[in-house]
Amino acid sequence: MSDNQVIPLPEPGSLRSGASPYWRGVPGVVPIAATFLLAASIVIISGLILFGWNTLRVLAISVAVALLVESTFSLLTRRTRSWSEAYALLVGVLFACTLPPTVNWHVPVVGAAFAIMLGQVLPGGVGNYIWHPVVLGRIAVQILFHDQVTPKWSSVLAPGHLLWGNLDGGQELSTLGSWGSYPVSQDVQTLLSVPPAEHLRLPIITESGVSNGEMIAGLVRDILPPWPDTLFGVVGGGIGEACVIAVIVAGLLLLWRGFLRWPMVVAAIVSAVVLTAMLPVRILLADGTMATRWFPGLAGWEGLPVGLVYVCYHLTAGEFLLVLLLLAPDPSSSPLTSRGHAWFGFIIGVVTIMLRVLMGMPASGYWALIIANTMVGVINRTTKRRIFGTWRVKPVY
Amino acid sequence: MLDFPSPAVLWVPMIQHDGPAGCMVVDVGREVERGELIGEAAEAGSLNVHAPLTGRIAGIGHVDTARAFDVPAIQLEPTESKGVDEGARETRVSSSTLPDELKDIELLADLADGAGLTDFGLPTVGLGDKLRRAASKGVRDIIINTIPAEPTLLVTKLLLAKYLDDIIKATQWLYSALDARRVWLAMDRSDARQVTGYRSATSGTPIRVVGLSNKYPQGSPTLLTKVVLGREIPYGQSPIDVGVLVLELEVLPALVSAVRRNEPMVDRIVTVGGPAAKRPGNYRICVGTRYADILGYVGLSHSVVRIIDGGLMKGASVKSLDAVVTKQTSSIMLLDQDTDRIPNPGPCIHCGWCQEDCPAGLDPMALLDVVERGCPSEAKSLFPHACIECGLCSYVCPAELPLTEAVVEIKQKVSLDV
Repeated sequence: MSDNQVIPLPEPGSLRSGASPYWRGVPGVVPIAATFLLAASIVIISGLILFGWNTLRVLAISVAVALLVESTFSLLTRRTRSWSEAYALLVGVLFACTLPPTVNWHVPVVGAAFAIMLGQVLPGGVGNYIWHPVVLGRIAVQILFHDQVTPKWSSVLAPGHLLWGNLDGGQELSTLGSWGSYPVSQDVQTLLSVPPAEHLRLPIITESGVSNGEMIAGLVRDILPPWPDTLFGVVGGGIGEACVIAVIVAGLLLLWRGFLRWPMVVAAIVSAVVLTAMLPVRILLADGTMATRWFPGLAGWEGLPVGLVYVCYHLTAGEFLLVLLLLAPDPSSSPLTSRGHAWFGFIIGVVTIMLRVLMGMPASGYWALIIANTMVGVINRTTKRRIFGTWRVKPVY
Repeated sequence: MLDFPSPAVLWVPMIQHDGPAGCMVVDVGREVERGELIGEAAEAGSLNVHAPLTGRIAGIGHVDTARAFDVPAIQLEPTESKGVDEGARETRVSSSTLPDELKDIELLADLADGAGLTDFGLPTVGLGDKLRRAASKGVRDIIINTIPAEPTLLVTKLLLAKYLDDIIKATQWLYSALDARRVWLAMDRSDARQVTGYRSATSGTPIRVVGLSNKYPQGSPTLLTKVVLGREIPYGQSPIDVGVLVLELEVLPALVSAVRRNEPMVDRIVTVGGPAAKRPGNYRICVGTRYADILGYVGLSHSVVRIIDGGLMKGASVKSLDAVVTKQTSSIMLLDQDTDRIPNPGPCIHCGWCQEDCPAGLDPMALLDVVERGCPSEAKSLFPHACIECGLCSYVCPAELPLTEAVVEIKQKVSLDV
């Protein structure tokens, strides 16, 4: 535009009126979904590397069904909201993250449809649901297709076949060395293993005279894969559950954008650590009787803090971090204040570990989030902020 | 600071603050000097109005201002071209210098009233009234607020650089007149050089410089009282009630002009900006200048869809170009089509950011709910009057809900009962 061009003064009556403030910081709801999608895509990429094209298969089915159900409902109810599709897409992607890559096609179909229909559309859309739609869908398939979503053998691509390998068949690893060092022939594209989450929820088989330290040391040394393998995700599991590093990177993104609040993360991890260190592990003796051993986290063996290693396995195993860093910060189903978020995280940490260690439940993180979501109403009521200039009086709602 | 030429005609409104109108004391056709009294404070809470320029009273009528409509106003046709240049102003210093100490707060308040000074805050009241109230409440702490009231206001920085002596002088008057314990100068700590400059300049005086982060809404008197002195103002009270007088920085140079040079408040340094302004800057603009004249002089780079009198958070929309600038005008923002985004409210997604970011700990969502259901009586238990109207809840709301607007509405409807 040239400097000499004269722009006329506005016409009389053309000026806009309206009350302050005129400055808006957050341009709508869609960027929130976009940030979550970006975080989820980091996790999806990690799944793509670990599990190959099967990740895309599950992702495509899940997203397609989620979008289809959402748009069908928008069409039927004639309530179109510009951003409801963005959230349906997010639900589809996140739901794919929770599934193992080997599931049959009907699992993501049923789960995504369930998540969108009962989780998001029927409660009235984003902002009105109590339970995270993804977790609702995941719990549904957990009940309906238990063997599919928590298989005994979990597949992961073998060294040299990452990203391009075919996730099919595979060689079973009965005793686990490091994923990279395990001697398999070049033809084997898939390794089958029991993910650490399964070992950690099941009773430890041991003899009666064995001390805590020796028992934990045996578990870590003979049964569980090396701990760094659980960080990289080469132990298998869900598409998004496996690679802990990717989940943490996604969590850092959400933390930086302010969707994930640190009190929740700190509360969840601290409570999980304390509880795993304290709660009794169930042991199965050789004669078939069950017993419990308290304070496994304090166990030492030959001067090594094996109990601490055991706690670390619990943190990185299974769905705990995926639930905490990617699913729990969902704006609609999490508490309002930061203090509320701390309680929310506390509930997630406590329930996950209790269900896993005491009851041996698979996918305990999802159950924990459902329970924490249910508690949000109570949390919101009890964690109201003090109003400036008032003391010992609570606002009445 | 940039010059602003004297316009062909001024409409000087009789209400230029949040209070009752002044009473006109001149007739049509009279010649008036710059600074001559043309509207007199007739009742409690009203303020004197002076002629901004030498000229002839051409008529009497009504004008709109940004915050009031159909205000009685005097039409003035200036005969002098405005002596805007600061050099000319400085030479007009009268010999009547006052001592460093001013023991009598009444004298100071009367001088402020005589000059028609406001307290430069929002809502705007007379400075004299504020000083008298502070004296009667036994205020012992004074906070001079140099932190911009809003992110877009740049005047305080300019004043701090330009009026160091005046600021210290006026502060000492206030200190001695109110028999204060201490004067706190709340400064933006991001400009370290200015802060250290003021630290050394005020050493040996009762002034204490406090460096604070310039994070909006730090400039709010309520929050400054809490941050500087650790005193939380009880619900429904003002800083003066807890023994703190919070004054805007702009008060001090104006007070010095009024006391030393007998110069009434007839103009104000106004930040003119916004994406549609071709020559943005700080202008000294006479009260009664029409927005049409300002836009004509500043020039437009895009077509304007909204003119804001004040900042982007707390300002008021100007509905007509014939409206005029008052003593309340701190800045003028010219927004074009792209920047004036009209919110498109959607359903609340319960993210909780409005609660989390509210400096007063309110629940704006619940207050909006009360407004939408049309039962403001329920709002009493939500303590709406704790709101400082900073606008953060609306700023952060991803659903673009009119949260601040709702709380402001409730505050007007619900009486203050603690």
